[in-house]
Amino acid sequence: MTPPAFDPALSSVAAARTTLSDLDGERGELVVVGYPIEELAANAGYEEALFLLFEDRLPTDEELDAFRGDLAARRDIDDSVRSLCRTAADGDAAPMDALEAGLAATGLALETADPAETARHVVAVAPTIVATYWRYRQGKQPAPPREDLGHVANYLWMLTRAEPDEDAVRGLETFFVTVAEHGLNTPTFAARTVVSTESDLVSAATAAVGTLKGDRHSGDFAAILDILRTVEEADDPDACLREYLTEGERFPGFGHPVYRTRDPRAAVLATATERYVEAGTDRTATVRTVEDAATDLLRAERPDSTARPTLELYIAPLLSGVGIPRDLFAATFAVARMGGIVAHALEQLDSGRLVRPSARYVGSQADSWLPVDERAAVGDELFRQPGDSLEAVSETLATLSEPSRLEMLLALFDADAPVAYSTLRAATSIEDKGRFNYHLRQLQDYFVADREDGYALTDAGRRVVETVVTDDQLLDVE
Amino acid sequence: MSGTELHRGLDGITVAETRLSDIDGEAGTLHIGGFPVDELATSATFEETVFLLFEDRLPSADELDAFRADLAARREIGEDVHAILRQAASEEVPAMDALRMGVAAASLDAGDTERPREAARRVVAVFPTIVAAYWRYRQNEEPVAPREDLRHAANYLWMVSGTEPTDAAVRGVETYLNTVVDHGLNASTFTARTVVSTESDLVSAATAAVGTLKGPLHGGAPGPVLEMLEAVHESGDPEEFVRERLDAGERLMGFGHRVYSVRDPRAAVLATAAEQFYDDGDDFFETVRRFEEVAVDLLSEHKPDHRLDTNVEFYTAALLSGVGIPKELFTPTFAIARSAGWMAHALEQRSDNRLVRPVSRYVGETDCSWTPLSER
Repeated sequence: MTPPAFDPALSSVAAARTTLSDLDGERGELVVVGYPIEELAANAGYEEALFLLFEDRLPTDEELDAFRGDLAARRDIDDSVRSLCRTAADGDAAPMDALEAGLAATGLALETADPAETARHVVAVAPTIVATYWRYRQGKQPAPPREDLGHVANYLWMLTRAEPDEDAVRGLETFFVTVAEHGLNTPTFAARTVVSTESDLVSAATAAVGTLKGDRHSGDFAAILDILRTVEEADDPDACLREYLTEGERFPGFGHPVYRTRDPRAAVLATATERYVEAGTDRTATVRTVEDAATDLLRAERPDSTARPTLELYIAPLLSGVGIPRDLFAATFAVARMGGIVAHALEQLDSGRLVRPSARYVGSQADSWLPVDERAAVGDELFRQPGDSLEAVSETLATLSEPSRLEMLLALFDADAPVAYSTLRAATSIEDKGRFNYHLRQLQDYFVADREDGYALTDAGRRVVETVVTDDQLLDVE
Repeated sequence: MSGTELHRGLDGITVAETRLSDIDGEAGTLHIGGFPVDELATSATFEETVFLLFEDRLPSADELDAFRADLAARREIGEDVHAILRQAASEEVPAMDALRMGVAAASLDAGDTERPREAARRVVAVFPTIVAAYWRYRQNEEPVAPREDLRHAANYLWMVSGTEPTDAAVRGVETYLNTVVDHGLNASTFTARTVVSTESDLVSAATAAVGTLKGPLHGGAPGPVLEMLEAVHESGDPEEFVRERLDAGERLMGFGHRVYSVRDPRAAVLATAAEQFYDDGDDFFETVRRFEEVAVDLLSEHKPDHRLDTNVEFYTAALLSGVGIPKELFTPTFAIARSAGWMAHALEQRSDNRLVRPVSRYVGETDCSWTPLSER
């Protein structure tokens, strides 16, 4: 197979060899360093799973003790990192921002340049940063890490300063092991790209957290909890789900980028919820209801949709059940995923291959420099085309020959003020989101501007509507 | 997964369409925002270049004034960031790590970083302040506060040295910043685009890009190049110096680039800029020119089928040391320039976003069964 010339999502390119995990999105299987995720989650503690990821084998009893001790001894954070956590809390920064800034500054306390040691250090301090931030956020003093507790139990301790409940530790530990590693997801890939220049693991982990922050990955948690609560209380789950579906452009908890069938981790987390969370069985029943009803609804409303539930749908009830505050769901996910992120970074360092893809240039050619006082005012440029060829003009006209695009221009013209994406979508008759986005893109820059406060016509777009679309035609459109 | 081909390093894979820069490695040309790099680098102020990248056109005089003032108003850093930089300096943390820490910490007091264009401007504005403050602490001196009446490049020199920079030095720095502001999808720029592909924010993209650039395979080695040039200057015999290195089988720093098969067009721009900056008859620069001539000749004798020319690092070292940037700050100064390219790419990615989500090829064990701890 020849490689695709253009693949912005990299969906058809294997960007690395790995021994860390194997995802089969068609069959819904996940194998982590040789072990099916169900087996690993049922048997391994988090430290054991980390050792497996770092060393490519399971530890002996003694090795595991030594590894635990090493991690536990690295949990403390520096004063300056603590003060960043406080600033973040005082300024109402999001937990992920605090984790990102805290990790970025972690190099200060680090006395090694050895990547394997740095990897352990990063994993060890991540929970301390999140918990320290959270305690300040609650107006409390941080609870110093305790070396006698395991990684997961210590995290709960630092969050609450109370002896953690055994079931809560087990439930949370299952979560940690289950999500620790998941192939070349975007944050992990970012971490690998960072160290592909032979940069360090602290930079890689910081970049991964910065990537994980994006809504596409972790922004759905609050909405999911709301949905679960609403469905639990409502008589007719279908009706309240339908409301979410018609309101939002994307149904929270749905649309996994990889799995075309059920995510194999869903069952693992559901079992843990039933086993370790009070009233867990009721909660997983609600999740099943939402999963089934939403899948049916999505299929009915958008027949071309292959949207499957994302893991967030199963994470929310487990994490809330073991006592993680909902504001910390995303950060807790990041803390758990840290193992896979740094394991990938170590693997990338070993393979030593610079990541350096190409771009296709689509901008203007051979502009000649105009001194600043000879430049035209804003707006005049909007009709400027590269070169003088008539082909460019005819391309511009072709852009306008699509009725859906004229409909968008009209909607923006009528609004007379910048319009939010969802409003613009609602104002047009194009149902498919992909098609809508496509047409919008064609109009963008020359005719439609994507401004801070929403979409608006450019001067050129306005002129087009005023000159091309007459009153008679407008009536027809209505 | 079936149907996927392994492309480690993504070599030859096109992952984005861009309007920002166009590299022709065969012809040895580079266009930035549509302009040949030599024309842009020597004509534009840095603010004009940043506007061009962010808005895809040159600003009018009024727009440029407003843009300059806006950037100048975003230069300050908070007490927390100072504390981090002070500590980084006292522990002799390298400058690029300090920059990564500073940028991430600065996001906590940057106000609303959710508005992408504002975040982009804030990132560009604050990089010089972080680098200069770190450097002043490193020198056991108090940081010099930014001055709103100075342009971006001039203010950077002012904050590093605490003295009013000469026009020639400002032009030298400005030409340098313009020359290296953007260069296709190098690793750090691609990282920035990957970060925002999850709809994350631009400060995170900048932090990640700094972390990528600090790797030796990317950030390059203008510092060591300067040390080499100084050693050559001291030895007084460039030819002997080059012969010794080549006979010992060593690489000569400052020559060759992986993307260009002919001379990197940026090297010529920086060579001219350095020439204009140094007075006629400057001893050190005479050595630099002589060394280049000798080295290119000897390298082509050494490897007749593969011509190696001076690369960007070579004249970066000569130019930046001339205008008064200490060699420890060469890579951070590169980051100050490239931050604008990163932010422009991040904005471009946002405007037509696809989640970057490659797959991997699993080459590990498959059917392991669990061995309890006591039986291992």
